[in-house]
Amino acid sequence: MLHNRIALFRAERGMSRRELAEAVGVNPQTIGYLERGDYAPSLELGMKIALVFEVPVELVFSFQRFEPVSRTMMRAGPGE
Amino acid sequence: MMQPESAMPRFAQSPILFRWAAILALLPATAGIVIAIGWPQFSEIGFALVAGGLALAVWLPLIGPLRLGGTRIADEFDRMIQTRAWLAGCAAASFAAVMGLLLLLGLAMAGNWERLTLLLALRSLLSYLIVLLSAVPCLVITSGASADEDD
Repeated sequence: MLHNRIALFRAERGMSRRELAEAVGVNPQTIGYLERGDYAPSLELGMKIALVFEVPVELVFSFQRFEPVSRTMMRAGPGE
Repeated sequence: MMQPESAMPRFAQSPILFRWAAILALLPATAGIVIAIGWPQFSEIGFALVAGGLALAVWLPLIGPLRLGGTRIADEFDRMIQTRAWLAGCAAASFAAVMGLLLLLGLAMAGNWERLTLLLALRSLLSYLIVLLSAVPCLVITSGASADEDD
């Protein structure tokens, strides 16, 4: 299964599904299916999404489950 | 970037209408084919039911969510769903064709059917296959459709 952080990146940038969908040329419903893990995107779509967020594609998609944000923040410590 | 026109929003807006149209086409047609093959003396009643389903089903590829020319610039998820729906229709029709022909062959041999009886049953079976090819893809694609709320 392909895990992703689309919802996280989208929330961080204050983007709606519709805005992201328009940026990558798909329907908003498709973004919803991607976020829920109901659909694995093509390489092209995956790279387009990473390009919109301006991060490497492996930060958005992974075969391993992503670490929860709270755990990452706790490990980073206060003031980071 | 322009938002692509797609089948997805269209059938996500009114999936229930097309879902029920597909069900209303399939139900009488299925009952009709069972009658036409199982009780050859009522083959006309059976065919009438199949024809009723057919009259509704033939409109689904023309005005339904999978209508030709309506999804040329659908996105990749739409194309995946559409392919899956058409494959489901083809699989259902292929299965019904093989099973129907075997059943007709067996019943015709066992019951020593006349040529006309066999032809009438074949007529119903062929019409039923068209119903399956037209209605099953519509049923499949509207069964999984949901209008996502944007957040």
